[in-house]
Amino acid sequence: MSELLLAIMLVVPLVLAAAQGLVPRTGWLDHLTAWAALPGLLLALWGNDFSHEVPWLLLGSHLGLDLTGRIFLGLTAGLWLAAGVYAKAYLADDPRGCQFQVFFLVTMTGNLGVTVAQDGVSFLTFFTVMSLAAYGLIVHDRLAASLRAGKVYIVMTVTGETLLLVAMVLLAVQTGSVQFEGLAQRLTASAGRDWIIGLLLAGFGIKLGIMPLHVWLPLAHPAAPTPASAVLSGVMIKTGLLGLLRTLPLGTESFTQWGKLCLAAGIATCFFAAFIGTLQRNPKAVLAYSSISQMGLILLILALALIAPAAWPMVGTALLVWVVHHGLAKSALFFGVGIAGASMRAAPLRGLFMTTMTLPALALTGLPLTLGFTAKGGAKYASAMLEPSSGMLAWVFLLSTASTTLLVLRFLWTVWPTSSPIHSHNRPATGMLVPWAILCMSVSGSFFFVQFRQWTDPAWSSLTASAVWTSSWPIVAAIAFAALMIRPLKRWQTGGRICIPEGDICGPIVLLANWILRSCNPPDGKFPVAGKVALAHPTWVHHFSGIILRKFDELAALVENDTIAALIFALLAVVLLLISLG
Amino acid sequence: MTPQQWLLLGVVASSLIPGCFIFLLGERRATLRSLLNMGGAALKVGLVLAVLWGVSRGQAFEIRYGLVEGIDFVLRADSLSLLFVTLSAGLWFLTTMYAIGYLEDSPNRNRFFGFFSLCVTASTGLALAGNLLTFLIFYEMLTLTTYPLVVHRGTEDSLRSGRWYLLFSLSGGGVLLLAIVWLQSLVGPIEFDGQPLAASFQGQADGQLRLIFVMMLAGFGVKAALVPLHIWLPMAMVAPAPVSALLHAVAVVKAGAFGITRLVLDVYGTDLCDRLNLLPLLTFCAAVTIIYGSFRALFQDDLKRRLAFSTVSQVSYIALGIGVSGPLGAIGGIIHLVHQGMMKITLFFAAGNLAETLGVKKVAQMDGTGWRMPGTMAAFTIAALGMIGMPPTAGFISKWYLAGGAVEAGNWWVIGVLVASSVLNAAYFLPLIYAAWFRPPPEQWPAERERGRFETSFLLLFPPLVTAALTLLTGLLAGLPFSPLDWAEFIVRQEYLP
Repeated sequence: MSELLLAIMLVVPLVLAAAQGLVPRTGWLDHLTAWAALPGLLLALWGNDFSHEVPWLLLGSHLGLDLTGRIFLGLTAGLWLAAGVYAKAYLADDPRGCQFQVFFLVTMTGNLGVTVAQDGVSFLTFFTVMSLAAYGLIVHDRLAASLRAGKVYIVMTVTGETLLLVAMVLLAVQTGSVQFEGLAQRLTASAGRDWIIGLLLAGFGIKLGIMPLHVWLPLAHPAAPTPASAVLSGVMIKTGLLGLLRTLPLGTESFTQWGKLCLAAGIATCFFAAFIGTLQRNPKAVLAYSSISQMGLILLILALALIAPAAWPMVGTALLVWVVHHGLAKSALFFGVGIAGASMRAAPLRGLFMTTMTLPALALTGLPLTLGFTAKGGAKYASAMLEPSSGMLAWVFLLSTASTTLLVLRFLWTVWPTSSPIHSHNRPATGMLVPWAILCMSVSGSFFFVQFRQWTDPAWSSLTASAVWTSSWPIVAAIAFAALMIRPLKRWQTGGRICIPEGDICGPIVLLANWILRSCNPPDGKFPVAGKVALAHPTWVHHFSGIILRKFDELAALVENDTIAALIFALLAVVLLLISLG
Repeated sequence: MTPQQWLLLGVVASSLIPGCFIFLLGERRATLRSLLNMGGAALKVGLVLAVLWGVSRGQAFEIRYGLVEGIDFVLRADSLSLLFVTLSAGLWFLTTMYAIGYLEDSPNRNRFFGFFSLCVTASTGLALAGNLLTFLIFYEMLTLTTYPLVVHRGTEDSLRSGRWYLLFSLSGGGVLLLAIVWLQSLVGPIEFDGQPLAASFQGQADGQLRLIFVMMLAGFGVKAALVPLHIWLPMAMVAPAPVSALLHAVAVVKAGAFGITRLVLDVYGTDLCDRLNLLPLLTFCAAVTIIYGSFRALFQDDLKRRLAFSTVSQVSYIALGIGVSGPLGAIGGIIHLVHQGMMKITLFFAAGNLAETLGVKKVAQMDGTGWRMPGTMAAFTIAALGMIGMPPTAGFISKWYLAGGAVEAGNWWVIGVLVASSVLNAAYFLPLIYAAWFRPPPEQWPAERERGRFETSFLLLFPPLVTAALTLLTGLLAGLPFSPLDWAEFIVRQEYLP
C-alpha cells in the first residue's frame, strides 16, 4: 500500500507536467496541479515504515520511508501543496503560467523523491532533477535580474552536482555500496573518509547556503515568483541538510576537525547573513538572508554531532524539529510577501495582516508558544553536551536570537503593505490567503501539537518559567534596541548609503568572471578575436588572458589546419616509439 | 551451413545486398529505394535480435573461410561484438529513416544511399569480425565507403575535408596493417576468442610488442580521434547531418574506439597490458583528448563543429575507461560505447533539424528554437544533459562507472579529468539549452521551410525523439536485464574473472 502511494506520489506530478506541456491549458488540469503533492502528504501521514529495493531503477535503487524521511516528506509535501494552491491563484493571469507549472511539478517530483531515496544514486538523481528544474522557476519572469540570478544559480548547482557525484562515487567504491543503511559505520571505517566528508559538506553546503557558498541564494529567492521562493526557502535548501544527515558518519566517532570547521562556518554564516540581511530593502532578500542565517545555525547544530558523537540522537531530534519549524515559518513569511503586494485599503485589514505576519516572524526567533521555541530548546540542550564550549554556544544562541529579531523586524518594516506595492494584484485572492493563514497558524499550532502528543522530551521542550525567560528577554531587548535606534538609523539611511547588494560577494566575483569570459567570448562568438578584444581594454586581466588565449588559439590553428599537423604527428610517433621501447 | 551461420551472414548481408541494388536503381525510384533501405534496416534489427537471443541461450555463431594458408576470414558473435552490432543496427534503422527525410528532393540520392548501406555493412562486419585480419578488412572498407558520404555535397569545402579524411584514415590504416602483419608474424593469427596473448606469450620480445601496441593504438587513434589525430573530424562536419550522425555515433569514430577496446581486451589482454605497462599511455592520450576536445568545443560558434569537438572529447571516455584498467572502468568504457552513440546521434539529428527546418546553423542563432521546435529541442536537451553526465540520463551511468574505475585503480588524477570535462561540457551545452528555451525567438528565422504538419517532417522528428527516449531510459532503467549496463557487466565479467 505504501509502496503504491510512493509510486503515485512520484509519477503523478510527472504525468501532470507532461499534460501541462502538451495539452492546452484547462481548469481541471490546474486544479490537479495545485493538489499534486497530496499523495506525498498522505504517505507521510499514514504510510508505514518500509524500505523497498527497486533493482531495475538506475543502478539498483532503494526507496522507502523512515523517521527522518517521513518528517522531511511531510513538510515537503505539505509546503508544496500549499505552494501549489497559492501558485494557482498567484499566477492566474500569467501568460507563462503553463511553463511555471511544468517546472513547478518537475521540481516537486525531485524534492519529494529526495525524501524517500534510501541510496546515494537515487538521492543524487532526485536532487539533480529538483535543482535543474528549479532554474525554470527562478528565471520565470525573464527580467535581467532574474536571468543573472539564474546564471549564478546554475553555476553553483552544477558545481555542487559535480562535487556530490565524486563524493558518491568515492562512497560507492570505498564503502562498497551507496545504500544509506549502515553507511555511517562503513564510512567511518573507510580509508578516504576525509575526502568524502569534505566533498559532501561542500556539495550539500552549496544547497544549504553556507557562507561563502551561499551566493546564489539571496539572488534566486527574490527572483523567483513568490510560491516558488516559499518552497525554495522552506524545503528545497533543506535537502542539503537531508543529504548530510543521510551520508555523514554521525554518531559513530568524533570528527573534531570537520566539526570545528562546521561550527565556525555555521556561526559565521549565522551572524554575517543576519547583518547583511538587515541592510536589504527587498523583503524577499531579507528573508533569503534570514534563511542563510538559519541554515548557519543548522550547520552549527550538526557540527555538535560531528564533535561529540554521543550528542547525535539529541542533535538529530533538534535538527528535525528545526527543519519543520523553519520550513513552516519561512514559507508563511514568503506567502505573506505576495499578499502584501496586493492593495489593502482598509487600515484594520493592514493591521490584521501585520499582526498575523508577526507570528511566523517571531517564531523564527524562538518565541515561546511557537515551534521555534521547541527547536531552539532542543538545540540549546544538545549544545550543553559539548562540554568545553557550551558556554560559548549559549552566547551564540542568545546573540542569534537577538540578531534574528532585528532581521525579522527589518523584514516586517520592508513588507508593510503601504510602503511599496510589489505586485499589481487588486485584492489578495482566497487561494493565496488560505495557505498563508494556515501556515501562519501552524507555527503555533505545531508547538501545541508536539507538546500534546509528547513527541519531545519535557526536559528541554516544556514551558518552564526560566526557559520562557531565557528565550524571551533577548527578543524583547532586541525590539527595544531597534525602537531606540530607528530614528537615528532613519536619518542616517536617507541618503541610502548603506546598501550591500543582494548576493554580497557574488557581485565582485561575477564582475571578475565576466571580465575574463568576455575576453574569451567576444560578441561575435569567434574565438580568434579574443586577442583583439583583450587589447582594446587595457586592463591587466584582459591583457593577460588575451595573450594566453591568443597563443593558445594560434597553436590550435596550427595543429588543426596546417600541414604542420603531419610533422607533429611524426614527432609524436617518435616520442611514442621511444616511450614504448624505454 | 547451420541456421546460426545463415543468421550471422544475414546480419551482414541485410545491408550489403540492398546497398548493391540501390546503386542499380534509377535516381527517381524513390519509393523502391526507401523500401529497400528500410526493409534492409528492419531486417537487420530483426536478425540481430535473433542472434542476441541465440547467444543468450548459449548458441555459438561462427563463420570461417580459409582465404589463404593460415589466414582465415572469420565472423563470430561474441558478447562485445553483439553490443556494438545491436547499437549500429538500431541506430542505422533510425538514421536511414532520418536520411530519407533529410535528403528529400536532393540530387545523387542513389550514390548516397548505396554507400550509406555499404558503410553500415562495414561497421557491422567490423563488429562481428572474429580475428584481427577480418577486422582490418572491414576497417579499411569503412574508410573507403565513408569518403563518398563525407564529400556528398561536392563543394570545395567538403572535397577539402574529404582529402584530409582520406589522408588521415589511410595512413592510419597503413600503420595498422603494418602492425598487424608484424604481430601475426610474431605470434600467429590473432583470434578474438577470449584468449588474448598473455597466456601464450611470456617474456619474449617485449620491446616489439610495445611498439606494435603503440602502432595499433595510433592506427585506431585516427578513427577514434585521439589528439592530435583528430584533425579530420571537425572538418568532416561539412557532411550532411545523417552522415555526421552516423560518423560520430556508430560508424567511423566508434569503430576506432571499438578497435581500441578489442586491442586491449582481446588482442593483448589486460594481463599482458599491465605487464608491459601499456595502459598508462592510453589513459594519458585519452585524458589529453578529453580536455582538449571539451576546451575547443567551448569556443565553436558553428553548432555542428561544437558537436564535433564534443565527440572528440566524449569518444575518448571509452579509451579512458579501458585504460584505467579494472572492471569498473572497463564497464564504464564499454557502456559509453553505446551511450555516447545514442546521445551524440540525438544531438546531430537535432542539429540537422534546426538547419533543415529553420536554417539555424550557428549557436548564436539558437535563441527561442525550443518553442518553435519543442520535440527536437527537448530531445537535444535530454542528450546534452546526458553528455554533461546528469542523472538520470545514460551519460550519468557512464560517468559513474568511469569515475568508479578511476577510484578503484587509484588513478586519482583521472577523477580530476572527468570533473573538468563535466564542467566544460556543462559550459558548452547549458548555454545552448538556455538559448533554446529561455531566450525570445527572433522575428524571422534564417531560412525557414514548412515541412509537414509537425514542427518538421515526421521522418526528421521521430528518430531524435526515439534516441532521446532511449538516452533517458537506458539511464533510468539501467538495472534491467539486457540493458547496456547489464550487457557491459557481462562482457567485463568474462574478461576480468577467470
